[in-house]
Amino acid sequence: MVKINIKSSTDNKFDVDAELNITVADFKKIIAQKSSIPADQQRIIYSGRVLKDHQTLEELKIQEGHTVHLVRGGNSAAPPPPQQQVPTPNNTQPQSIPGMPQHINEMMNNQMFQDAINSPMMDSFFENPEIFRQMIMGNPEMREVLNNNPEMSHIFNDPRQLRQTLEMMRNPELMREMMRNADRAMINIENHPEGFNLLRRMYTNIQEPLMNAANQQAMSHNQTNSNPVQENTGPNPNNSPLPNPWSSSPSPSTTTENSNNSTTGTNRSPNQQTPFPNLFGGNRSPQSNNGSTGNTNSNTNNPFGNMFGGMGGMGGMGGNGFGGLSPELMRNMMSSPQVQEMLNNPAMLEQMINMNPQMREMMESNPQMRDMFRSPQFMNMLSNPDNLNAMMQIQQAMQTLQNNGVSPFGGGMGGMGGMGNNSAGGMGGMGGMDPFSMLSGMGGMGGFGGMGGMGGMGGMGNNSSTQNQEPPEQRYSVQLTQLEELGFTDRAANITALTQTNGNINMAIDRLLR
Amino acid sequence: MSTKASLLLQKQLAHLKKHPIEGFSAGLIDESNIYEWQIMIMGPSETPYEGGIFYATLTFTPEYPDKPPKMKFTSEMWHPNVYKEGEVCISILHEGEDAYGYEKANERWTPVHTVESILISVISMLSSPNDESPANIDAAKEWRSQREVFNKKVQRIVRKSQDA
Repeated sequence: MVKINIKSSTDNKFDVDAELNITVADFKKIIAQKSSIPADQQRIIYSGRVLKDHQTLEELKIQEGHTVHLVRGGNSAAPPPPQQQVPTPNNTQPQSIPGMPQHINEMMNNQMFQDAINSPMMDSFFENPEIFRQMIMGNPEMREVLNNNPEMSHIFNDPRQLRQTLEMMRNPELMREMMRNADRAMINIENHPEGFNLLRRMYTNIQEPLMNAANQQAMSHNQTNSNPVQENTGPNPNNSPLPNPWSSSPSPSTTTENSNNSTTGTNRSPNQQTPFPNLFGGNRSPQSNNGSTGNTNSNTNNPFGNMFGGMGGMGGMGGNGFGGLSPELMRNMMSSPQVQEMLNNPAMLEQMINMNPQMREMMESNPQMRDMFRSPQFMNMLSNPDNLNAMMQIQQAMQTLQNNGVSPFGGGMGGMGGMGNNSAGGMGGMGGMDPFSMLSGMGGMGGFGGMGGMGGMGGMGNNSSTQNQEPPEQRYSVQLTQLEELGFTDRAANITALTQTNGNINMAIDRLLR
Repeated sequence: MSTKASLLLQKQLAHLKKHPIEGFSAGLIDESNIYEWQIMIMGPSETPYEGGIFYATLTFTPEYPDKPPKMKFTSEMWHPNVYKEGEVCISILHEGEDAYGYEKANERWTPVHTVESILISVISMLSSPNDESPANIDAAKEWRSQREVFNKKVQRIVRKSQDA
């Protein structure tokens, strides 16, 4: 039984309940009970046609809530003024998650990020384990890692796992829950007598080979400019087999051998950690402790590295989007007097870090890291233009890698992306230069595993913070123009819809038409 | 961009199915082709067309909404602004400047028009023909100087449309 609305020329509007398998003739009898027009004089009009008595409602594809016209044969109605459907948007403000650094919140609400994870492409991507498998199996080292560690391949092959990760990213509440769980899980592992060793083993067995695989791919890419993942796509290696939704324009692969050096440089850094955080760490529950392949930081109190490794990958890709586009800008920023001053002034850096409670906690529980921040070598490393160049090149190499479809393992790339994001933050002026994006840079440099991933996020949030300072009219000016071109002339409603959908024009149209 | 056109048309179709406008009904001729619409216009009351049920097609291009659709009556029609073959000639379905200067630019096609706004214009055209730029010169002449004859002819096509 469905409800069908009747718009009548004589009785205004009413609705009737009807089964969909009845004929139009029977439908007219039902209507006749509520209408002054007898069934034999009724004309039912739907979808541009007068309905014939022998047709069934099903055949006509009439559905619940649809409206049909009813006219008396030989009589008709005057057209009333057209009714404008005013959209009634439910005013959902972007949610923020208490207890999370502002940048993560901002990133979660960031238009591009939300667009990206809400896009149908993402859906199909996560729905399709085949893509993942292909990407992984395209790389011999990666394949070996997976063969040696069946539980890993399970993660990569299980669409549900991927979906869960995605859902988590879409839903801030869930995300917080996951974070808490993962945090707890890590602590539990550590408290367990064998736990720490387990983590260490995980690092040597899984993370290192994975990273090597990724690095090697980056290198081989540099040298031969060919990608094992897509051997069969012809001479042009940068045909982007998987479009990167975060990348506003894929930049050409201008990688040089220099990036090899810097890759090794990364590994040699004081806190020798892989820039390859746990992509799927986020959906690890306490029960599956030993599956946590992610953060093997010798101090596992790093509150985010593990659970946000996956996010970091995302952020990293995002970083590629805006950050990777402007090596020039990046260099300028890093050599700007203010940044130089900051870098040369450990106290300032420390102050910035202390401003963020999460960061402070991390520093306090990890003296090594604090030392690293304080060490003049590290500062020099950061402020040395050559190093920056090298870092940019890593990033470009990573971008190439991502363009070629390796991106989902993007933890390490998260770190790199973070670096790129630094430049995005720089675009927004010094205000954008905050502990998180700083750290993201360091994540890239020092290869802080999970932190690298975090960096990607920090950078992402960073960009959004500069973006969000604009009023929605400016932020969504492109979309507003498009909407107006599409015939949505109510500017206020357009702005509301765009704000609610974070600038996603298709979703905004949906709302406007609802 | 064809995706934009089909997206926009799909949205309008879905919207019209739930919230149809009085005076016309719209659907697709073939469910698999979003660009060909089946239209049924109810003759507006207090006009000679009252009671008529007129079929027409609305043909979009993938360039919609940058380019206007074409509208053609498939039922017999007698109207100064409808060609004898059925094609509807109203200013908002015309692009750019009018070579003959009859229609002001602001009355011509703009991308804000929807199926709804087009059909409201067509219904209003049925109520008040524009004899300045007629498409059917015979109908225009009758409408101007022999209104009785004109009305009789219209009543005949109205009856025909009801029988169809």
